[in-house]
Amino acid sequence: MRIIGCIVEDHNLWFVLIAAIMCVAGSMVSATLFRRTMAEEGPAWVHWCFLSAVTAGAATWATHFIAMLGYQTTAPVSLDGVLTVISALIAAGGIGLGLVLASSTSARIAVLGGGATIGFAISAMHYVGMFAYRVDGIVSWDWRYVLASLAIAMVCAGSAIHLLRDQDNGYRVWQAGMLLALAIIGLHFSGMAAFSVTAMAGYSQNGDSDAFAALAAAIGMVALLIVGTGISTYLVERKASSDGENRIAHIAMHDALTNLANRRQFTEALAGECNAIDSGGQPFALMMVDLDRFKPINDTLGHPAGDLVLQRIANRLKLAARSGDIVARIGGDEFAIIAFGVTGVATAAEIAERVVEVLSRPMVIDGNVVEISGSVGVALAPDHGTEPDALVQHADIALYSAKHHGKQTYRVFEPQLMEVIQRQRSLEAALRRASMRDEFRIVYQPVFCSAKGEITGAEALLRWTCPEHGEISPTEFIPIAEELGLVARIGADVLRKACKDAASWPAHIDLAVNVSPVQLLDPRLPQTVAQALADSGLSPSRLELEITETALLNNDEAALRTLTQIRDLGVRISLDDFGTGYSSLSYLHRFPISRIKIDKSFVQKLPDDVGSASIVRAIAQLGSSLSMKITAEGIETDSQLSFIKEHGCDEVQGFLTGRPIALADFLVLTGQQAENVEA
Amino acid sequence: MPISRLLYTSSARLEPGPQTIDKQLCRLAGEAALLNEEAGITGVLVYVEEQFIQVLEGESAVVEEVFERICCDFRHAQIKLIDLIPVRQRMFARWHMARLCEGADPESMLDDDLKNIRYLLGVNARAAVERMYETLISYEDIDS
Ligand SMILES: Cc1cc2nc3c(=O)[nH]c(=O)nc-3n(C[C@H](O)[C@H](O)[C@H](O)COP(=O)(O)O)c2cc1C
Repeated sequence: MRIIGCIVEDHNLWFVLIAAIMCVAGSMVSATLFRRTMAEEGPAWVHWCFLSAVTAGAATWATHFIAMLGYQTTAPVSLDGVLTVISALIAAGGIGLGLVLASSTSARIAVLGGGATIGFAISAMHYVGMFAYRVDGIVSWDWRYVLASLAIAMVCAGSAIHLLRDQDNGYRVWQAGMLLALAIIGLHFSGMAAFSVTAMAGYSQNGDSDAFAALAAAIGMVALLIVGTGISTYLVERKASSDGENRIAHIAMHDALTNLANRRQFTEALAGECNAIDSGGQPFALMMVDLDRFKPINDTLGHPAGDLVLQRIANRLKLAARSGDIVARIGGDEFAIIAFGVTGVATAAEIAERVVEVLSRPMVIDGNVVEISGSVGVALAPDHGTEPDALVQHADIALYSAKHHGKQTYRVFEPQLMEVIQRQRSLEAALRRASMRDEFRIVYQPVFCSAKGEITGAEALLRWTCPEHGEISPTEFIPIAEELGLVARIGADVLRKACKDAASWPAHIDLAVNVSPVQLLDPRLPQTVAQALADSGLSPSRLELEITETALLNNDEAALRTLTQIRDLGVRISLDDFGTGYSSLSYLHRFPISRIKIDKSFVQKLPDDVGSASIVRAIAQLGSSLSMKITAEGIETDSQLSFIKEHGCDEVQGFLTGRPIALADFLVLTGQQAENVEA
Repeated sequence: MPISRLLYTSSARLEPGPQTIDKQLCRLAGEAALLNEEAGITGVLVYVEEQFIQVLEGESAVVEEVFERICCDFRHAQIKLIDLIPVRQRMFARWHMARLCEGADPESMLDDDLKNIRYLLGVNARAAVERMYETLISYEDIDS
């Protein structure tokens, strides 16, 4: 083969090697740039087209020159500057034109038109470059090789364009790059094989050969610089776009507010873990986390505060989980944790407990104390399922159960929970019916004057007997009623009925009715109270509403307004369960409170527990200094009663002095007492 | 700039590691003092019957921030916010985080004083804070 012989015999192999490296590198870059150009549209396409054409043109041109440096001839050589520059312009311009065609949506125009144009441009560059190459000798051309070189360049370039049209397969770029390199190398050496020089006898070696070498080297360097610029432009752009892609991927997989994983990432991760477990992967725990009292925060403090709460919650959850676990926000106030490598209930429980604990910690936002808490439901894989749906369902059941067992707790799934859930659901339905049909009863627990032992009043307590499940304690059904939004209605009913009952009692016996935190949030409460008083004819001074400290906590201003309106009706307000919550004097000062009821947890530890004793004593002192009445709740023993009497609590209430009883019994009791007094 | 005073209690969950409780506490309060100096927070940290009682005073927003950090700390649990009020002046202006630790001075009445503070807290937070201040003044020479 003459082509091989030409490479080996007529060329300095070092230069050939450098030219080949230049050619392969340049072709790879060109292929990458071509592909990019063909994918672009609009103004960006114009820029990429220009950059690609200049870079690819420079690369072919440089290859040509470096290879020419290695062409060994005995004849003296010189270079025509104008033609050399024109050859460079032909390369860049021709490739640019080819790229315009290659960007066409028509495969035929792109491959045949674009590919051939690029191949032809490379060839034209080569032969114009050869005309610029002046040798002092007899030059002869073998036209067969010239035609073959043209064919090689055009076919290879066309194939490269064909491969590059497949935008999805990144591997194609390498193949196309190799084809481009083949086009250039094939063209060059078959072109050189077509060319032969015979030095004329008697001519001496011309000193211009050195100048030619220097010039060619300089041109090669410039070309290299251009190619380098092309490469770095491409790399910078790719970095920027991959940063952009990373950011977009991050946005797609993360919750914007909290920066936790979002529902999508959670779903994918869960599915991935479930698949892994099927093929012998690690066990893990799925935890569903739900905030217990989040919605009122948005309502009372506004959405910006609610957002801040969520961000802090997210941070706390991440700290409560272990590093590597996935913490996701999957709904407004719903979160989920995938805890990896959890082999047993104990580890899961430990994490869940941390979550519950950290969520129950207070939070201060713009001077407001926010008391939220969270409940957690846990399901273990593979013990409770290996399918995402089953796991989520079981964790949800555990969560539901946690929420209905006083909230602020966690539950690990167990099959029996299904039954519990059924009871819960049927209680919900029964409670709905009950509130329509008025199935509730009111019982009255007498309150006694601790000094004289006579009845001074009664606290109305709600009772419900469910037709299906029997007697249900208020601690079980009130939270359900709150959740179902029935509390305002039930509360209003109790108030109306109790006022009516009390209107028939002796005038010195007062009535106390509980008001739940949810009711206190309702601005219509004063209206409801006024209506109940008007309907029953009960004097406002005989009515007392009992609120808890927690009702004041979340909602200072609104609560203050409502309570002030109620006080202005002439109704008294008392603070129930005092000592268990945020016991602060500032509350007592700010709110129109006329009585404190000491929580039974202290009273029941009397008189032996030093701490409780000192607390009860101190509350009694506090009451007298603020001129508030004090009631001790939950009196069960005589020694408790005598301690209370001694320390000046005004009134007492508890099983020792009187259990809650029905209205008729209460009337009998007051009747007897009236007789006793008369007797 | 409005100044707030925050009072909370928590139950300590210090690691029963090689370091004694007293040492750990020293370090904790020391670190807190450094951070507080930067943030402009003053206050006192009481340790009694495995309970922390802490007062933080400073610009309201900063107090909120520091308290949130404290609420992210697992070296204690059951954090209860007892009181948060605007105040005109700092009571503990001299201490970035003073420390009153049970058992620090077995000869004195310190332990009893601290227990009393704890009881008082459940009833009258303001009075408890004042008592902390008085206790701090009277034991300052010992504990510093
Ligand atoms: C009882 C207790 C009291 C603390 N008191 C403070 C304090 O006053 N100021 C403070 O900056 N950090 C205090 N910390 C430490 C913080 O919890 C937290 O570790 C620290 O602020 C560093 O938080 P960072 O890791 O988020 O920067 C206390 C920790 C505990 C357990």
